[in-house]
Amino acid sequence: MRGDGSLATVEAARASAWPRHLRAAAAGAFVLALLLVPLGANSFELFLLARIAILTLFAMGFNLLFGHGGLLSFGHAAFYSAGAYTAGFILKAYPSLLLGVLGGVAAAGALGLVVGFFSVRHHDIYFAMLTLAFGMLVYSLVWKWDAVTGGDNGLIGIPRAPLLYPGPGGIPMAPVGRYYEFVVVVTVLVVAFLWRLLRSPFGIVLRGLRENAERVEFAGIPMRRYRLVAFVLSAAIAGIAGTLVGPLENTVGPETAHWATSAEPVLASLLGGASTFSGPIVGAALLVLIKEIVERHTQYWLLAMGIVLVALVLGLRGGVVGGLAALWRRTRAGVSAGTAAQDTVPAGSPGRSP
Amino acid sequence: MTPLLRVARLRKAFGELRAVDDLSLELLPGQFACLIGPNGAGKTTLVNLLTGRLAPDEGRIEFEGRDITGLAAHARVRLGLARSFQINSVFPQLTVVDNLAIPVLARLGRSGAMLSRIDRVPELEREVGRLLAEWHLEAERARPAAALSHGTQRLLEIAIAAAARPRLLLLDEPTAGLSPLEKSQVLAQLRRVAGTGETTFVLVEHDMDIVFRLADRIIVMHRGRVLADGTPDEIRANPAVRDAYLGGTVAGPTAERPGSAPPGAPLLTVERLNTFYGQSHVIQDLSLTVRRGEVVALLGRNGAGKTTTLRSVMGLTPPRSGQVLLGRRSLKGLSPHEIAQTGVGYVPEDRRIFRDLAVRDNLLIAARAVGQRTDGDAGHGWDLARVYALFPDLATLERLRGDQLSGGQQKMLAIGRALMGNPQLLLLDEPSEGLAPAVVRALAGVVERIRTEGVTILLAEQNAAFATLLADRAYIIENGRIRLEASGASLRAHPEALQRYIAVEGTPEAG
Repeated sequence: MRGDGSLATVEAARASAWPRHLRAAAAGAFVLALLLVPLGANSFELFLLARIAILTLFAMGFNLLFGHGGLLSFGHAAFYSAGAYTAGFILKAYPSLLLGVLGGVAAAGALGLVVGFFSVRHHDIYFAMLTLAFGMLVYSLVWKWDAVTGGDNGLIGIPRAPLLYPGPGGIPMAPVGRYYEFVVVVTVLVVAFLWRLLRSPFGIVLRGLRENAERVEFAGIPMRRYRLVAFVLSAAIAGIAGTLVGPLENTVGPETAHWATSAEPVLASLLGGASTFSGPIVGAALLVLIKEIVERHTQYWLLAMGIVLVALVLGLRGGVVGGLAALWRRTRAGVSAGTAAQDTVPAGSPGRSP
Repeated sequence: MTPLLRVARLRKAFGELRAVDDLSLELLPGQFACLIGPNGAGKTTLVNLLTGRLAPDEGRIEFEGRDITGLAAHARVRLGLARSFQINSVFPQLTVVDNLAIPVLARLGRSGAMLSRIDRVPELEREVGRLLAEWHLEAERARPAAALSHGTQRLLEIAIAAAARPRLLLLDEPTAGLSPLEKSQVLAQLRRVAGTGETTFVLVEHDMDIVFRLADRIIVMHRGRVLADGTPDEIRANPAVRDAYLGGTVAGPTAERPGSAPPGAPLLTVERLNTFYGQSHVIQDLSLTVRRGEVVALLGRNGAGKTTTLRSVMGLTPPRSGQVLLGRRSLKGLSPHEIAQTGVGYVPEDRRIFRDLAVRDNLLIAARAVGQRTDGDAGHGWDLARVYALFPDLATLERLRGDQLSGGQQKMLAIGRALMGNPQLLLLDEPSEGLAPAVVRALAGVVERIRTEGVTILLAEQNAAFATLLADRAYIIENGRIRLEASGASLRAHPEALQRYIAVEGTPEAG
């Protein structure tokens, strides 16, 4: 997938580096390969891939607001957790995966509407602090409200319920391979939605908000309302990610609402490249894999993560995808630069008087 | 005819300063009005009040008979009241096409569409294409706005405002910093749009040439009030306007200027300087000398390399090769703050004052920041009192915050701040840009005084009239190279020699 960067929505839509049908074919092949993985993978590997997909959703939802909209939220765990708990309640009451996911998304979106209403009128650090504060509020609620949330223990015994309804014809999801495929399908649908969204008029306005919110207002667009819409969308997508956790692990705990969870999509986006479309996907994969590999050898996985991040920020600005794309552009430009530089020197430049 | 805009008893104060003071005004559809007045008269504040960027303390604004006093800015744009900004306010990382697509989508009512592809929005491509052609931006369509020269960004700035196809368009100093060619492009386009009769214009403008050529009505503001309002001929004949704004008699170029001491030893020596921005070779083998006690002008068009030369000297854009000497000391490899400590003061074009600090603190912090000069020279002992003596306005405004000053006052502050660092060499980037004619003349006097107090000056300008008024010598720069070196006297005698390179016009009409 081509990292869209921040350049030229209109131009990119018209002519991109890859022809349209070729790009669609490549994406289709990739999705097909993902769906075929259960044929040759063990359940641990499927777990890992499902976790990557979930963090991908979480990070892409977050990055809609951050990389494309220019608003850094430190409280997205609240929406993730709202999705996870709501889906957990529903699945325990009535085992229908679809119902659980839809209910979780609605809850996360509604919470996003409330938090967003108060937050989007502020900028920069104030926005970040407000979302952090709301996130901590939700965390203490989840943690202390024993009777409803199960407190410290969280919700346990969340079933990997059939897709539609219990009984015959409800499409069972219990095998981890089947559930993994469900997660992949949901992720692909959301990613496709975002791909289209960022190439829509709304997407270009969103980037305008990142670049210069005041000028968007003076172009005749109600800037706060647009920010709020983006915020709710972002929260809802984080919520979708949350709904997928419970059925995978059979449990949802209060740590889903902790601010350390809010940091995960931030890290994934920065790692992969926040200003690119596919950055959060790459970042999510790296984050889950690094954590998994390092945890086998040492409990200090955060140390390793820290080192990787420092190296990336110092060495590869723009994350993995952004950095590589820039490198690619530079090497390509370097070939033609030699002749171009000569062109700028006028043939007979007049000398100056002493 | 019912007025398009009606303003009744509008007031806005910033602390003690009454920026707009009980102002009433009516505009008829189809008018082309210019809003002029000295820096700090309240012109930009008025534009901000009319467009909803600021809320008035008192008063009422009606647009097409409707009360819009409390309406949000975006809603006013939808009603047909758009504006451009004095300081470019574009979308830096977006391409020119995307910059224009945003206001066009808003006008078409399609800005909220989430699932339609941007290239399939009916009308969008045609409309953006029309704007690109009209504002001479076709060649730059796929470049990010941040990569454009100041002049081209200026065109984009106006084009974004015009994209809303407003009934009333307020342009805040649209031609500030434009080359003569770009100026004439903008003016031709404004005339064309005005000719259709769809749009009523209000221009805030300092270039009297433009004002008297374009306007069918001139509104003169002074201290937050309307000082005069009438046709160009009426304004030209109005004695109060002459005193307050156009200035008295012109302090015309004189061959013998008082206080010019014979130049001393070279203070700044630049040899074979080469500076790059990424791949582009912006400064090419540039050499120049500024002797102690001189005023030297670096003249050239937008994008000629004037600012980059100053930035290279200051260490802000380190040169790739070449030599920069202050006296006998090489500045190469020094960081900007170290260069400041050797006694070089820099006033950037965009002023860069501390917006949240009071005027006084802006000045004091500069004195501290430079701190001990490392060249052993005590400097010229600049302090608050001396800066206030030079700029009496700053003394009266000393408690105001930086962002409450007008553009011109900020410029004064930036110069004052540079002086607080006790420079032996002062680098001034486009000091006359955006200043009212009377203020430009006052500024010429200020520069002259700074020089007589022992500070050497290198100024970058595209206003040749202003620069040659002051300069002992001038270098003409084009495409990053020095094309010509001449004495100030010879340029004053033969201004046509500059025609090829820069603006010779733009001399304010004194009436």
